Order: sequence, then C-alpha cells, then structure tokens
Amino acid sequence: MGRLGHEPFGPWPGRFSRPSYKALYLLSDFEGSRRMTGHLQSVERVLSAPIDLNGTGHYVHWGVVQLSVANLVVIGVMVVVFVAALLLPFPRGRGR
Amino acid sequence: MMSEAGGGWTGAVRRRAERALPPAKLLPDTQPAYMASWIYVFGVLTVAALIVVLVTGGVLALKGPAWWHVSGTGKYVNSLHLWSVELFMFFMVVHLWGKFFMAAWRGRRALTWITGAVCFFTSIGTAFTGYLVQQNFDSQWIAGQAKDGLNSVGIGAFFNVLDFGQMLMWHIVLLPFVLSLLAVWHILLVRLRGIVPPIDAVPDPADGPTREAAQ
Repeated sequence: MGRLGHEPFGPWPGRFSRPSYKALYLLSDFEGSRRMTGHLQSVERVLSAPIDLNGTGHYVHWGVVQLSVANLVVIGVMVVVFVAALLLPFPRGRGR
Repeated sequence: MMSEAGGGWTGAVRRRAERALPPAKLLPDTQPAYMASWIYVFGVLTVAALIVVLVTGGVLALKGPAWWHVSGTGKYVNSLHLWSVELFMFFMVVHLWGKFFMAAWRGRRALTWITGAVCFFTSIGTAFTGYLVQQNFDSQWIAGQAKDGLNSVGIGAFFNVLDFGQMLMWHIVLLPFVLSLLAVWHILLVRLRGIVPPIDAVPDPADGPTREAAQ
C-alpha cells in the first residue's frame, strides 16, 4: 500500500509525490508555516523521526478485537503508571 | 426576627447544606494517614485536567474554527485541548482502576461510585463528539462509521452524527454541562462520605459507627 508523502498515490501516479504534497501543505497553512522558525522546524524533524505518522496505522488483531498499536501503547503506559502508583513510596508531609 | 427554623425554603436548604458539609469538611486541610499513596492522587489529577479541558474548550468556542485551523496560537490552544483530554482520560482510567480494586463503593459510597461511572461514560460521549467536530478527513471517516452503528440501533434520527451543527452543540454545550454537573456532584459526595479507607484498615472510632457495625 502506498504511504502518504513517500510514494505516489491516487489515480494519477506521480502527481501527488512528496514535494507537491508538501507544497499543498504549505499553501494551505502558509501563515502558520511562515511564522515557524528554522529552530522549530529542526525540532519538528527530530521529534517526527522516531515515529512516522505519514503511513497507515498499525493494528493488532485478536479474534473480533482490533486495536491500534498506539492505543495499546497508551494502555500499557496506564498499567505501568497504575503499578508504580501502588509501589512507589509517597513523600511524607512536614509535621505529619 | 427570623426563628432558627424559619427563612423559607432558602433557609431550609442552607441549614441542610451546612449540616451535611460544614466548611471544614468541604475544604479540609488534613487527610487520613492511609491517603499517603500515589494512587489517591489520580482523582485530583483528573479534576485538574478537566479544568484545562473546559478552559481551552471555552477559548476555542470564543474564537471559532477560522482561528484554530489557521492561526499558530489557535493550533496551540487546539492542541492543548486535545492533550488535556488525553491526560483527563488517562488519569480517570487509573483513578477508576484504583477505586475498583479498593471497592470504593463500601461504607454508603455507592452513589459516589455510580456518579463516577456515569462521568466516565459521559466523558467518552463528549470525546467522541469532539472527534466528530475536528472538520477534517478523520472526523468525516468517524462520522461515516458511527452513522451505521447508530442507525442500526435506531437512534440515528435523533442523534445524527452527520449533522455537524448538532454534534457541535452536543460537544460544547449539552455534554460539558452534564459532565460538569456530574463531576461537581461526585466531588461533593466524596467530601460528604470521605475518602474510602483501605479494605484492611482498622476503623477509627472518631469516624463514628460504620454501616456494617450499625447493622
């Protein structure tokens, strides 16, 4: 399956390749993009590197249950935070 | 001069409110020793996140879609609204798990548990209608899918997810109003009945007879 922004997609192959899609994005958000400084753009590149959000989502299947990996990660973090809240010592207040 | 028992219905409501929730009980400055655990923090974290959700939602409502779609500040406030909702649901789920495993409905706290559970379901509805009013392809896709599900149970004519105006009103008026009322009711009940003690806690005689002992 073609990945948005990386490979051509649509009925006219090559028409919406990455550069033209980026140009469309800039046109639709020209004012906001104009204000974005080079520093922010580099931060955006660093943050977007580990997780590519331009592709299709990843899902896990378990019978009739379908769950996105993103939601599964959030549920995992919730379990970790829950267990940590039970196990980690709570700081004692002054004079109590 | 008005007698102690007089004052009409306003006086009666005031006396009843003062008896049920005196100021020291409504805004206590100390808490029971068993609350010295991180698991008791998630209720107030949920309330804090809800306040950010309501404030940022109010700003978005004031400024409108032409602002949150094209302005840098608008996008920032829109993101604050999204991520405070994410944190709100996160904290609420951890709070729910904690209260479930400590059987927090004990000691005449059933209504506290029920209002919390209804808050949870109302929050899900509010979040779903929020996804419907994003005004992007994601919201169109969600509306198209939800329409089939809701029509199959026969409520599509009354709750039309393809009607942007109706969904916007549900999201910014009806559901936040109900959720806020439920949240205030839930918090007042927590103050009224107190924080549920651990299951193996020895009851403090100063707290009065427990329901089990009374029976």
